Amino acid sequence: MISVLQLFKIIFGVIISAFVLIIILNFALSYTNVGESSRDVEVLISLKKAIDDVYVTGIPTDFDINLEDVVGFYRPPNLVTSVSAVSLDPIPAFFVPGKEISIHRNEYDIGWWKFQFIEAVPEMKIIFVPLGTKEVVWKTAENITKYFPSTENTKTKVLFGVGCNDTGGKNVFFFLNWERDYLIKTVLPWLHEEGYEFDPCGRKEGYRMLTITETPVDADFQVVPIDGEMGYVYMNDTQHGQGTYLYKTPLDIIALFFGGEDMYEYENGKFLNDLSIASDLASREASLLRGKMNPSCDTPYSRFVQVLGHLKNIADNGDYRNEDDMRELNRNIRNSVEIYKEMEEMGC
Amino acid sequence: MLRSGQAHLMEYILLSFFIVMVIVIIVFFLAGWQIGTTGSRKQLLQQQRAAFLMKSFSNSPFLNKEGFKEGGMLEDSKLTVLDCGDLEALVGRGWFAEVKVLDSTAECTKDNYPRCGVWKFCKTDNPEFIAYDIPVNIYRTVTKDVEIGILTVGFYE
Repeated sequence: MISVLQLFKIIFGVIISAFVLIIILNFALSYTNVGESSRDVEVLISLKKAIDDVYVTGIPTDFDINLEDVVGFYRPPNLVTSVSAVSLDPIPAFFVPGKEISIHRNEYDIGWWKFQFIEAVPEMKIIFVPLGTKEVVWKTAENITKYFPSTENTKTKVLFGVGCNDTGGKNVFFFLNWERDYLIKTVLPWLHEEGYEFDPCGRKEGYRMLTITETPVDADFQVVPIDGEMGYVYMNDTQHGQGTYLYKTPLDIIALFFGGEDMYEYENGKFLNDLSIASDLASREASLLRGKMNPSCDTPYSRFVQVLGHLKNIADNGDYRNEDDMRELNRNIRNSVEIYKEMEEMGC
Repeated sequence: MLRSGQAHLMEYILLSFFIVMVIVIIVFFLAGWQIGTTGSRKQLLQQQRAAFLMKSFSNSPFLNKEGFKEGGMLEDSKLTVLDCGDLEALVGRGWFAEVKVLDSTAECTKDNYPRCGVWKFCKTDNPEFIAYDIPVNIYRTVTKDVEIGILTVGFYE
């Protein structure tokens, strides 16, 4: 027969044990979650620091995220993770999620100012498909390539190939392992000079095609130049989106290629905003210096101020999807560059 | 019999009280440790941000002389026309910067330029900030000389 005290001991023991067990389990579970989140946050902080460092020094680096799904995706300017979103602002970044990424700084130089941006991309193989022998096609290919990262000094590679020659229904590519600078300096000029002609490429596993053509063809990502400067990008890609987009600089093409419409809109917003601030600053600087430098500099300074005023106005109010607006923007950029060169030659 | 039973009961209640106390102490210790870690991480992030702003300011294409590839060469004419609003539009609020040519005291305005050597941006009276300073080159646009200055960039806490 169990006494009252023994019964009390049993019930009391069960209650206390259950209480202790629940507390320990709760803590263990929440600490597992906290530990995983902390690890993800640590990775993100290190990644952001690596991007910051590359942006200020210009020295490229590799970054091993080492966790499959830390960065879910990039919605510019935020790296979106399961824990939180980390903003890369104010750095303009073309980020493509991956396990191992190569981080580079690149720039769009207009003489009196340059737009610096980060490219953080995983291993990638890109095949250029220039269709036709027209100068504008090959010039566009060269212009675009300049704005891809040069991965000669990093472990994670972005390599290029050129294609395709269609022989008996099989796509034949011209190697696939060129670094960016070799492609620009040697391969593209040689192929153009030799008069090589290529056919449209079909899809190839592990490769991304970038078709450049004077008239639209059936391709996932194609650049159709109007002239050496501007044109349209036709996208027909389930991953990156579908649509037709105006480009005014190769940066727009790179943005679309790496991140589709989201990145295109972000890049345009950032570029035009920074261009507006840069024009305003350069205009105020020219006004300040006009009375203090050589009197022969007065006229070019005045012209420079005038052009920069127009440029700021279009950067602020122009529509980056409108061909006329962007043609006007490019015309003013060209004018400002010419006047700036002239001023430099005059020692202003 | 009843007294002995009560004494046993008291023993158990005391024992469970001590167990609960130990658990509470462990919980407080772990929570405190977590808060401490979060605090030091926040401080580390602020230091990182201040250091980034400083390097970013000294290398900014908005403020540097064209053609100097080896790091920063701040241009005095660009610094003179720059204002706090421009900086806030570029990198956000909550920070300040000061550039000072060694031995110079006159703050630059459009009127006294180029006979000046101090530029201040977004400075407030808030005494709590993290700041870094580094030596920088300053290009004198009018005289085409290069002088040495100190760049201080801080982040208000």
